[in-house]
Amino acid sequence: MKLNTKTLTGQWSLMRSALVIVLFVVGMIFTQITINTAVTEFDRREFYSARLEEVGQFGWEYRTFFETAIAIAKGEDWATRKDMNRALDIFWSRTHTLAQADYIEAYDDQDKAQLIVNRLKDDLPNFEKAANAIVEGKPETAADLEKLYFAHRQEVLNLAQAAYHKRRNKAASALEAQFEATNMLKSLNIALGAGGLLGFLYLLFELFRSMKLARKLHETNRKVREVAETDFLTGLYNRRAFSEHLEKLQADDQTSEFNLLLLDLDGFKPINDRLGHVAGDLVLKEIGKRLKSLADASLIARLGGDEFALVVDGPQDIAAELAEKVIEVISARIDYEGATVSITGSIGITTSDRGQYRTMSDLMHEADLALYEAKGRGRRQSCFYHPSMASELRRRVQIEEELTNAIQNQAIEIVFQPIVKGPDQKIVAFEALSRWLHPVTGTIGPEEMFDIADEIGLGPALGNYVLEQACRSAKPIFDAAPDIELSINIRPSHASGQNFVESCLQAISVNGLKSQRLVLEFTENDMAQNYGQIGENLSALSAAGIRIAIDDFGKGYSSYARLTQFPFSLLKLDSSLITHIETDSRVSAMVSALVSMTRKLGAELIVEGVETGAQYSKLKSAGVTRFQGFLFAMPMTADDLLTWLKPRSPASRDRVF
Amino acid sequence: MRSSSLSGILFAALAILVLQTAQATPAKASEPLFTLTPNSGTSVGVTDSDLTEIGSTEIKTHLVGESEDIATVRGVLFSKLLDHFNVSADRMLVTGLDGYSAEIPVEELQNYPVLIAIEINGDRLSVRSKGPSWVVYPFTDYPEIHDQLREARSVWQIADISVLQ
Repeated sequence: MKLNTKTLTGQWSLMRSALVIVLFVVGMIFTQITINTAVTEFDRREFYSARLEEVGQFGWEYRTFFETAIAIAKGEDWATRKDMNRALDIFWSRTHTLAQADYIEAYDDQDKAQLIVNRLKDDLPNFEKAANAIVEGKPETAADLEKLYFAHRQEVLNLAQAAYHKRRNKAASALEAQFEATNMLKSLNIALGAGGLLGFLYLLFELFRSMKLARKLHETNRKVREVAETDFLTGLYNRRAFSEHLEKLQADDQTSEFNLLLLDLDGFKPINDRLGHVAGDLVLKEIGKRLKSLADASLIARLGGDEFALVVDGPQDIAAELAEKVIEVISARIDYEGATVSITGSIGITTSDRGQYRTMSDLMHEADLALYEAKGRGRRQSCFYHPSMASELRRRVQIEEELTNAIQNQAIEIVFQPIVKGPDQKIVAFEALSRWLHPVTGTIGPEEMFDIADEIGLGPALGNYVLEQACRSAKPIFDAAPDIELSINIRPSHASGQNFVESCLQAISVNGLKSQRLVLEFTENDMAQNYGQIGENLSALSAAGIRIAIDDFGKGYSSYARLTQFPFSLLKLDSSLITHIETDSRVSAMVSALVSMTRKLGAELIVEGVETGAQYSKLKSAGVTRFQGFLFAMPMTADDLLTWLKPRSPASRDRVF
Repeated sequence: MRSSSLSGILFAALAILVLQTAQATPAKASEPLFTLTPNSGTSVGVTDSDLTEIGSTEIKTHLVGESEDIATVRGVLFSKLLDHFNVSADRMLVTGLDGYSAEIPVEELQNYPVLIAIEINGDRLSVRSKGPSWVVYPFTDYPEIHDQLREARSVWQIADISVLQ
């Protein structure tokens, strides 16, 4: 709504209200005036009417007085002198009263009336005298009175008559006026009623308007809330709304068990980079749609980026079911402008436990740990939270914190595991392995150490440390056995560094080693995924005589094709390949083929993790010449290795068998 | 003969004089001014001495049927009269000598100083001057009761005051 429209409607409604109030007040004033007028008219009419009646009395009293006087003169016994005097007094009083100004006003011809009454008033003393002259039983003594009486009689009677007529007229017109007034009041009543009704209707109108506005407001509020709560792209709840709902769920005693699932999309970033943000948004939208289609979840939200959350009631198996469905549903193809996009996801699950209260952030944290684990296990799967994850994380964090110091303080030690060759199991090489004897967390192996180091960017530092330490520790061993080979595991983060070649060569030269005696081991996956970054360095090192070994071949997915892409002198078969060699003859066949392949590629095959004699003999039959494993020797310190290498008498020599 | 007609004339003149003045003479102290008829029905004559016993009150007001001038009115309070004679009622009927009558609610007599006036501006009331007694309302002091209804209740030449109900 534009501002001016709002002001206008505001002003208009204000004006309307003011107008209604003014009309109301005017109506009230009008009503009051009307009623006042009607009532006042009544009063005055009554007043005049009363006065006129007194004029009628006046005539009567005049006659009474005369009658009484004549009766006395005639000697009639019903009349007493007292009566006559009384009658005279009354008449006298009446005449004086009628002579008053406001009585005169009652007549039409006021001058005439005034004249008559005043003439009579003036004659009153004469009337009195004449009355006093009367003697009982002597009619002739009434002569004066008679004369006086008849002198005024006609006028008095006329006056009385006129007053009578006037009074009748007044009464009639009073009645008329009453009717008029009644009608006026009736109309007024109707008008007021109509006005009242209109007013009421107007109020209703305003009420409806305000109700409509209230509804609109309610609707707007709802929409605002919706927008605040909704993730714009997918229509799912956003992070804030999700937190609120989850907190409510947690706080609600009525809620039974529920599960929190944290979903992270795998491989989303490449899509965004490859096909652009528009594509990325569409993918997210599609994912959102597919998640919504799963009716099981009671809450679905997009927390941000490619992170989603779902809540489902019930025990753990329900959650596991849902997690499977989720992975299935989001792994389905997404078509985008002819290109097929494939996405998968990792899910971390935690279950609320009525027994032990955990805050919402606790739950999120647990789900997060579980999610991390799921990713670590290879993605495209779900993982339930286990309390050990927390402790694992704590452990990891501790290791991270202390790793730098460990490197500086040389708390990380290097041990060596021999690699034997041939029928006589001669030690031809030794692999350097790092381990950290941590007082609190226990021994930390090289894999974990390097994984953590890589995550916090200490990969090169650790790698350099190991490299230098290994070369230094190996020196006495080389002195004892010049032909021996030293094998060191290298991570791509280390090998991709600018100074890698230099530091390798330096480590060799500082310790007086020969470059040909050094083997750098890379896992097959590391090699394949990072060849672009490390290839150049490797070529330089190869040129210097340092050899490359491919480690962990056969662990997980291996590609034979890409073996041809890298330079390697040694191929190390993972122990997982030979697990069933004793029972499954096909394994031996495969190993045999690998031996042949490797040789044809100009390299040599080593089998790791040989633990039993049976494995050994099978491998030997298959043509393997180099072996490494607990069957032969455990990793040991340099000193122990030196001892091992010293020439011994055949009798005292420890042969394995 | 001469002496008898002379004394007759003298006597007549005296009689006239006496009679004339007799009209203007107010009622004697023992003669009732008006009658009061209470609940029981037996009328009692209210005399001057009764009024003196009750005690007079004075108000200043303008009068009905006369000019707008303020007059000094003296008489007894109507309510006091009723109390004096132990009259209890809701409504009284006041009748005048000329036959006029009006009903007055006793409550009004108790709420306002309504007088039974016998003297106005120092002059004792006679029949000719609306006496011997007149119901006078205190219109000037209480303009709220100055209306046609109360004017109609201002009965002059009071003949009788009766209990109506």
